[in-house]
Amino acid sequence: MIIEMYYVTLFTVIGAYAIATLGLNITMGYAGQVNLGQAAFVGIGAFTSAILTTRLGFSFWVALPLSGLVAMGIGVLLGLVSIRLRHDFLAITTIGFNFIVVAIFLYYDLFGGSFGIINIPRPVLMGFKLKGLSYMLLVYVILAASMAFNKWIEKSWMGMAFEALREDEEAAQSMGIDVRKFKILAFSIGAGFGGIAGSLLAHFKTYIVYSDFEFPISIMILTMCIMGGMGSVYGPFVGSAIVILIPEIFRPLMQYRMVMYTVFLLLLLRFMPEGLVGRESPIDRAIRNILRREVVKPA
Amino acid sequence: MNNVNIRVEKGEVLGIIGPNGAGKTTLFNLITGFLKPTSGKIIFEGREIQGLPPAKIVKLGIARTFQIVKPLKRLTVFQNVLIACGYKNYFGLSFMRGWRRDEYFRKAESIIRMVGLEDYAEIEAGLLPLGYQKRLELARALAVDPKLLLLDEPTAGMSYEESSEIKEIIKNIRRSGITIMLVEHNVPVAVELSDRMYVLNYGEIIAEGDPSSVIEDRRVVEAYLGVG
Amino acid sequence: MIPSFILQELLSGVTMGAIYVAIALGLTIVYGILKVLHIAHAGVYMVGAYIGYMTFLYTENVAAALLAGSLGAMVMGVLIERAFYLPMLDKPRHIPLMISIALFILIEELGANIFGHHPKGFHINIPLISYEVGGVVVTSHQLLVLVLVYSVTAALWLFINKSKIGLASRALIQDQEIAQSMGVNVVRIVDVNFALGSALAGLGGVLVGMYYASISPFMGDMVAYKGLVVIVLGGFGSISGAVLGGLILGISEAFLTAHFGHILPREAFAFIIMTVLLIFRPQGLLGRAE
Repeated sequence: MIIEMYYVTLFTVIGAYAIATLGLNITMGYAGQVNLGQAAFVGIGAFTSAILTTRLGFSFWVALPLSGLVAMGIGVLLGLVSIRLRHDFLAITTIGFNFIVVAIFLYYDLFGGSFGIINIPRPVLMGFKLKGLSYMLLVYVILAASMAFNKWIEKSWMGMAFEALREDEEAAQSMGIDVRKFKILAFSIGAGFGGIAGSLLAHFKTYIVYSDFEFPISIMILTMCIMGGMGSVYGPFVGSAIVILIPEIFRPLMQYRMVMYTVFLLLLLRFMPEGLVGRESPIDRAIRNILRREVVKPA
Repeated sequence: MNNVNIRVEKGEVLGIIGPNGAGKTTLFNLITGFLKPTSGKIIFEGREIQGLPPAKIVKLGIARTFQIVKPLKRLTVFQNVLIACGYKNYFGLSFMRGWRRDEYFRKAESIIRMVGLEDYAEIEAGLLPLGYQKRLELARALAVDPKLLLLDEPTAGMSYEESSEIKEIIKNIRRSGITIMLVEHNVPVAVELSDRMYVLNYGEIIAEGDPSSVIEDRRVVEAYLGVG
Repeated sequence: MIPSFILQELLSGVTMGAIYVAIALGLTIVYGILKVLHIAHAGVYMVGAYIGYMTFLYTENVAAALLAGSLGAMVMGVLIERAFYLPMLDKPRHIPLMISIALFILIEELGANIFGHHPKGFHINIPLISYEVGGVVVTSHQLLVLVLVYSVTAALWLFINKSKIGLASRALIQDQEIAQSMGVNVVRIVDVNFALGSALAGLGGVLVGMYYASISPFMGDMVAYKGLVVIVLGGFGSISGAVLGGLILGISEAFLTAHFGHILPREAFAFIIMTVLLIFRPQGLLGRAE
């Protein structure tokens, strides 16, 4: 029973982070807009949900979508910034954004300051309190819906616009794509998923504090995203599972967890920046090379 | 750009030539909204369009190619053209519609055939040789159903054979009724393709008119030889 | 007559600013030449501080500690450059940046696991003497920081403006292609610049340890992102800009915390300044518009 709970906890967290990573995947993987502050959106969602349920008496089922919406709204701000700044300047601004958001969590009583918010209620569905396995199921239902949404983006013109934006902004404009609009969309949708993930984490842990959303968590989500491969629908879940499970497998090395994350990230970025299973990854390339031989006749 | 007054008639091919740094590409950037003019007007079909964002200008019916090619490198040739075919869907909320529709696929295929890239449709655009990337530029510009097409040095950096193939494609485009503005560094190509020509130097017009007479103009010869 | 408490705040701002200058000079040189935002610089700074600390434990000699910290940091900086930056220059610019961030966190975490998470006292054998000049109190440790950082900065400025390799570096900052066609050995210049910038960061690390009488594996946090703020303030790749930016940040922080208390922590202030500046004046305070 205890062992079972251990796995349920682990996979609930994996599912929630997979949702946050899916969001980052939309902003960075599809639309090519660097965001090194995804943890801030997770935090915004978590605190929105916690405040709505503990202080204002809202139900979880209202707080969950609202926390996504609030994160989206703040994502628009970052989208506006991305219109002015590119590449590494945008990247350091998103780092700054993470620091500023965490500072606000710490400095204002609304967010519980350094004590955080406790006693966040568990969701109740038809008189049944969701915890343990049932909460895990809820997380995976939402993860599945998020993946379906991601798939839908791939099939819509929005997905095409994102890809064009990532490859070349000027070329995108010459094809009728308003880059400002799609940058804002990319940031706000990505932020929205971060917010949903935050709400799910808050009601799972029932206790949150500013330090749960500091910059290193953004790096962890980034590692998940790159590990899984950017621009792929299943990548975020694979990345999230690997990043969370590996330190668990090497329990004695738990204190070296951040060391492991960063070594992974360094090796990935240095030797295969396309990730393990994502588009353009070595595996993906090998498959496509085989396909290409069949499709293209020699000229 | 200074005191430049250029008129394009419907259905013609207007050549714009001039030495390096004459402001030809700047002119295109102004028309297509990539740069905003500090003063002056750009009128297209009776409507002032100066200062509009590039995407809006595409929707009004002005398309362009880039002198330095800008393929979407990691996407295939087909995807490159398909994205351009969907230009109407990037406005309002219609970006939510799906792109897997026969009408777009057929259109992309026919444009790819028109520029002679049908054997390379599934190749990543970044892997194409320069000559084919230039054709891809043309294909993408055609895909947005332009009334006016701005071609920025479509034959630059090409072999003789490649550029004569491109010239044929441009002549075909013209026959389909699309008005063309053509910036060319290569004077013989411009003379061959254009109905009328303007010569720019240091951001000003120094000659205009019939191609064969324009290149005889003393000031044009001087500008190209670097005298005065 | 300016009240003495303002002069006092100014002095503490200028001292803190000196540290920021020491960090930002390396960052700005690296950015100028490689166009990489070298966050891991702050890791080099922390390692420099620990090497200085350990050297001091053995030798009880402040000069030896400063020298060892600088040299250790120098070697580390060049290794990072060779192993991670030079091979990644053709990738999109955010990839070397992410590498740099990962590297910084890795260095910190390894530091914490090797040296322990807790700060260590770093008490030097220079007595802490206070001098009073016109109502302003200056300590001997403040003087040590001020004199060392500003004289090293002046030396660096001379080096870049007068020496052959300094001029070549400037050519490289202006235009990488031209510098290559002029037959300048680019990799060697990059090495020299990394070595100088990293040595300066190491020196800064040891000085901060001595100034606060404490070092910690996480001491790089404070400077990692503030160094960026400083080079954004000063305009990228400009030495005089980095000096000015460091001073502005040091002084404005001293005044803000003295008079407005803690509305937000210092880091958040610095980032708000940086974001506003990037959006409205992306070329920095001293830089020219493109």
